[in-house]
Amino acid sequence: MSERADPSSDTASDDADSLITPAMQAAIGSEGEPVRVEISREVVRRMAEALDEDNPEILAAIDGDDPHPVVPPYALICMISHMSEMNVPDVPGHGLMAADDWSYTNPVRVGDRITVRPRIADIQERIGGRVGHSLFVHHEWTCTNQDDVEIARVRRTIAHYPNRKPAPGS
Amino acid sequence: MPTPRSYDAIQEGEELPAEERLPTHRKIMMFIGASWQWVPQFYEQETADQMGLEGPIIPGPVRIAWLEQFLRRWLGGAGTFKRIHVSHRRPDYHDKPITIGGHVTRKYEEDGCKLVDFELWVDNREGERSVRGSATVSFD
Repeated sequence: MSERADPSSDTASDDADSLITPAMQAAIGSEGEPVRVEISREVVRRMAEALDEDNPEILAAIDGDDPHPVVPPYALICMISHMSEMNVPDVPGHGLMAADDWSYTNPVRVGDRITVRPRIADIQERIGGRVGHSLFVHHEWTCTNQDDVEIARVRRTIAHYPNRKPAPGS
Repeated sequence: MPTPRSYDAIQEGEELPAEERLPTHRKIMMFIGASWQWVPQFYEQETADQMGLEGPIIPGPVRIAWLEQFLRRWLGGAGTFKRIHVSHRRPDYHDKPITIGGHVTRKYEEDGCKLVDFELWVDNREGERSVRGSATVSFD
């Protein structure tokens, strides 16, 4: 979460107005279209390289003969993260990840066809915090594989701030 | 191959040796390309400026992956990740070194499973905590 935003740019009247619009309120509890992702060996290999993966067991599994090796949990995080976030009407400015909570219930393997069922769990706002008036959107995802076995549950919080000019010195 | 750490050998309060990493711009762009996370603030200075950020930031999933890698390295391949939670406190930036650390907070048995909880963190080059996290690992 950014702490670079300049809280002094908020005025008292800005803080008095709720950022939660009726459209946002109506979105709470809504479910999005399921998102489908296949766990690709090549994408996992590229992510492992980008992350400087040095675990010999993981590297051997990715490059080995097993057609369906277990992949590290971060492969799931990295492959479904962005595409699973539902659009929320009227959210101000850009969003930044504030928190992530992943519970893993079963392993993920190369070749798994993952279905992510997203919903907007809640929307809250914070008035007068360290970074000014901000909005927090809580997303929840349930992830299942091709056998309809649950593999993970996720709760992600995205913080939104109205667009700001650069903070002094940044 | 590293020696897997056994449940019995783990002590509550035990510190995990801190590790330094340098997330280079090149590696972050490789990650964005591989995961197709073309979020402007991850690579675009103009968007970073609009958001009052020092520069393009490290994607959140990368920081979660760092914590997972850090803990797995210490475990030596033992255990199964059951849960990981992170709170992103401040951004980390391309080409700025970070330090990852943690410690064991709790060992316990629940529903017949041997579990260990960890506190994990990322500090930036100024020593400020950019990520606070926790993880639970089971030993079967």
